[in-house]
Amino acid sequence: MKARSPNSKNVKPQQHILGERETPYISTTKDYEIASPVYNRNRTPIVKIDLKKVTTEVIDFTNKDVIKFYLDNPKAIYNVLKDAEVLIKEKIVPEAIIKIIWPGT
Amino acid sequence: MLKKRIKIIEKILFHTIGGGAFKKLSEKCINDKNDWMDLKKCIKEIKKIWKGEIKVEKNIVGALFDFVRLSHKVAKSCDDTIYQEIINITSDLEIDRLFYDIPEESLKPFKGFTNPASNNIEFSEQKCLDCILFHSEGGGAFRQARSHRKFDSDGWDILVTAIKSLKKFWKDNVFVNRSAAAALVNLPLYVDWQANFFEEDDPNSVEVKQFRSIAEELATEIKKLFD
Repeated sequence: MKARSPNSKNVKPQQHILGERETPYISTTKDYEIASPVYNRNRTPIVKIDLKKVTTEVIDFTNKDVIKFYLDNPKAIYNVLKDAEVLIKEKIVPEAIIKIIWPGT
Repeated sequence: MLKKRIKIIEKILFHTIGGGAFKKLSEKCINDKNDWMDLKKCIKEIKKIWKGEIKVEKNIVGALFDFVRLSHKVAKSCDDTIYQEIINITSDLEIDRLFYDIPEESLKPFKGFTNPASNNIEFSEQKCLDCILFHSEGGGAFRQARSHRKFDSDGWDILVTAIKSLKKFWKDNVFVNRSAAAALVNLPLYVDWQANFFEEDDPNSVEVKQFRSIAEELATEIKKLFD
């Protein structure tokens, strides 16, 4: 899986969180409910990721120190906290995808 | 100190809405790095001056609001290289960061807000502020858009009402509430970004029209608030 703009430089994680589209980040969550179609209208498959096998930068916003380092806008902070959001930079290598869950299964 | 503050304010106004950095870029296509450095320095200075303040200069907030809105408008009409340059410049200025003294400040718990049954009600200033903070920074309309990909009509309507009502309280003010200013300064831009997600699937979808339209309406009303 690739980010929309893996080579974009100077786009900060906060811009991605707030909705900038052309960024080198992929949004993921540690909370299954957040990824599920019940919560989100997106009915695409859900992939389970082993973060230890991700080969690029991982920004885990479930850690408050990480939030303090990267974010200052309350709009961004509120949403990453509620969504248990984890950003993965550039790509998720196939080896890190350990399960694919199809909607309705 | 006052002289320094006035000088910094004048420079910020010059580079954002006057004849400085932004005007040179948008009208003459001159990307003057020294001007941007100067603006960045002034923003850092005003951040120090604003530290601990609950109220801040309305004209500066208004200038930053116009700058963010117009720079992205200009960026959208440019080719990819200039677009990226403008995005890099505006991002590098870290305007959001200007409004918060310490990161912990942004982590404070958010108050809830219940939408009233009718939009035709009289809001107190505090009620306006609560409504603005909830729908932009809390669990209200913006969150529904960003995380749930839903257009919350009632939430956006009441937010616009609150912004309009707040204008009555702020119209003669030189200083305005810093948290509400922070919530509003980039809001139309961030709302407009939400439309992009729907545009990819279907450029003519209802959601694209709804988000573009509310972003415009918010921009119009917020501009009046800071004028």
